[in-house]
Amino acid sequence: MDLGVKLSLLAAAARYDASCASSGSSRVPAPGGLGAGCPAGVCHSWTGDGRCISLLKLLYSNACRNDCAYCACRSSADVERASFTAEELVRLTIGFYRRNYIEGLFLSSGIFSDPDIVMERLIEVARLLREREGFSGYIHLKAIPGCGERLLRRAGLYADRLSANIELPTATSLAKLAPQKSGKEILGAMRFMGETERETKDDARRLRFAPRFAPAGQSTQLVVGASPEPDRTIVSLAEALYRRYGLRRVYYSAFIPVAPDARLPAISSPPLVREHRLYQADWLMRCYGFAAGELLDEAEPVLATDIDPKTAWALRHPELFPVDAASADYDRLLRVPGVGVMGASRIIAARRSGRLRPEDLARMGIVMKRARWFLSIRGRALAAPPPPERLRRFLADRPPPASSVTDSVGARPAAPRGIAASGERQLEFEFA
Amino acid sequence: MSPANFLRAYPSYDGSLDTLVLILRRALDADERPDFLPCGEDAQPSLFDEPVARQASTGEEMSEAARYLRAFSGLLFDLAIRAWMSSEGVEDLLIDLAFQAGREGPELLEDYSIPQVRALRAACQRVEREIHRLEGLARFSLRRDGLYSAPLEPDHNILAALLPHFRRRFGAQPFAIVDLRRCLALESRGDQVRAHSGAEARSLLPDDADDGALLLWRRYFDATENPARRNPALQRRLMPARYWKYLPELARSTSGREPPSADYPKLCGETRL
Repeated sequence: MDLGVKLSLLAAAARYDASCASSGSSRVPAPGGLGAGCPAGVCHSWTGDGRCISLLKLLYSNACRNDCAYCACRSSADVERASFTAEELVRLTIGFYRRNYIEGLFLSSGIFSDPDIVMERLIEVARLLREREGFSGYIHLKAIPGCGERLLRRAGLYADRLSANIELPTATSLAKLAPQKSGKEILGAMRFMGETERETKDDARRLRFAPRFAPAGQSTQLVVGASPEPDRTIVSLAEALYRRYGLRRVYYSAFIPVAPDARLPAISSPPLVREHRLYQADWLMRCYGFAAGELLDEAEPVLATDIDPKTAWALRHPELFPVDAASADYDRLLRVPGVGVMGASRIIAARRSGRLRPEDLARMGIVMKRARWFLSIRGRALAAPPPPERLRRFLADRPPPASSVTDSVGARPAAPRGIAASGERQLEFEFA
Repeated sequence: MSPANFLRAYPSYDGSLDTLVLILRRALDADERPDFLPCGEDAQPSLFDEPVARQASTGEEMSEAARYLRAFSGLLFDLAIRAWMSSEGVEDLLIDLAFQAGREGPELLEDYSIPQVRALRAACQRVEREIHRLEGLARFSLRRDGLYSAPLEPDHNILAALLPHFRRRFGAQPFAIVDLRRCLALESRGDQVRAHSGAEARSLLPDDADDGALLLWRRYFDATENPARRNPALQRRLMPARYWKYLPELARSTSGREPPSADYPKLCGETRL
């Protein structure tokens, strides 16, 4: 098969993996080699769907013996199958890197054989890049579910980041939609990778030339909208993965129907708004100190589609506002809608010189349309908030769902369309 | 300080980074707020003043000035470099703030309630953003002579900031980055770096050598887009269309014409031979 045709097929198959980052690695150039890490990551282009191209994202092979209902490469799918050779992948990566098209390689694969064999193929590509080509650019390898820990350890010595996609948030959904996958196996791999990363970091503190294991950490992905779990289950799982296994990122990928399947919801378009709200909630947990239980609970299991999660939280807690910008600490300022990390830092810097005035806030990057209802300066509120239902409508960045007409703030919006209501109690993963 | 006294105290600003750093060094300890004058060897303070003798400044003086500036405030030093690169003419704002910072302390530069701080930092942020953007968007083509060449049209004078990034990235690979707006180029071959201008800079532009990698890159770019999530407005917001000219994956017209490599010399005022 022509290399260009293979490239088209296996790039198209890989596009459903949302991970695109090349950040988190400061790998130094190898003597006489090519490439270097860029800790902040670099975006080289943007596709027509608005996604950043930072890495050459490919499948080694789209042949797969699993039959996951949501996957374009599942064994029962009628698609053309192709596989790269290691040499082809190395040539593509080096050729594109030399031309500044990419920061490195993201390599996953269908499970065309025993997981150990598949993982060995991926490791071989990374080994050739590092050892033969002297390549110090970014490499992200998929941890093939079911492969042994010895291979995971080897993969981590070549890769900057590893990932094992959990895809579905409960054992029940996995059993229904991806019966050949084992949640325990995937979580076990995450636990091993997290522990190994910590061990090698400790070693590196004591031994100057200790090898690093996946210095950019690990990530995972959850498909949103293919199974009936509410946002609360997804967000709680993400929080547990961050805290217990030290994941760097959880990605959320809106379910896109690739073929009719009775096990999947019939949706006309991917739930992009829901995906967007999950990313916002994820950002609040990682960067703003929110706990999953603050954003969603049994009374509020679904993220609102009309307002962002931070504003929704603020509207549920009027007793905590207004926050005095002249005296509140950094963490309290971060809780104010419209105040971000940069804005909070600038407020505190301006306070040191005693120059903080209401008219300065907008110039500091504070989004006053939202923040003015929740801030005061030296005891004087910036604006008197209107009644709660009117304030919510004013702060909405999207129209409310048609089925959630209500007059009270914090009313539970309807579950997104296409999600079948499940009468069963969803089982959750047990973390060892 | 009167313009005449300023010129006595400060070397004539010739537009170079070294001289700007020297001016900033002196502004930090100056007794009076300096008045900035446009650069130029023969710049006169006014029609009624006599030309003043310029003080000679040595390389050692410049190095000492850079060390002093960096020790006073790493932020001020970084802002100086970005302000110098900027095409918005913010050097006088920078000198004014350096004078104030010398009085009130370097923390002043982080106080966004001060309008001049906001203006200067916003201008420097635009330079920084362009540097980071072009680190990603510069596209190199392999010429027949083995040189990888990337044409750019940056708003700001940032070639010197891009060079270390690409030298670290490419190692021994020979490459050139060509600023078509200013007809400047930096060429890196191993340990050697050479600066070029005018015709020499233009001679480093990509040729029309057959480059199979470009065609493969286009195939990859087209295949990696998810049609169910198509959002051209978001694409343009994240990557403004003015950058597309030198991106082979996007510089395709409906006629299927190749990227405008034939147009590069025209941008420097010559027709292609």
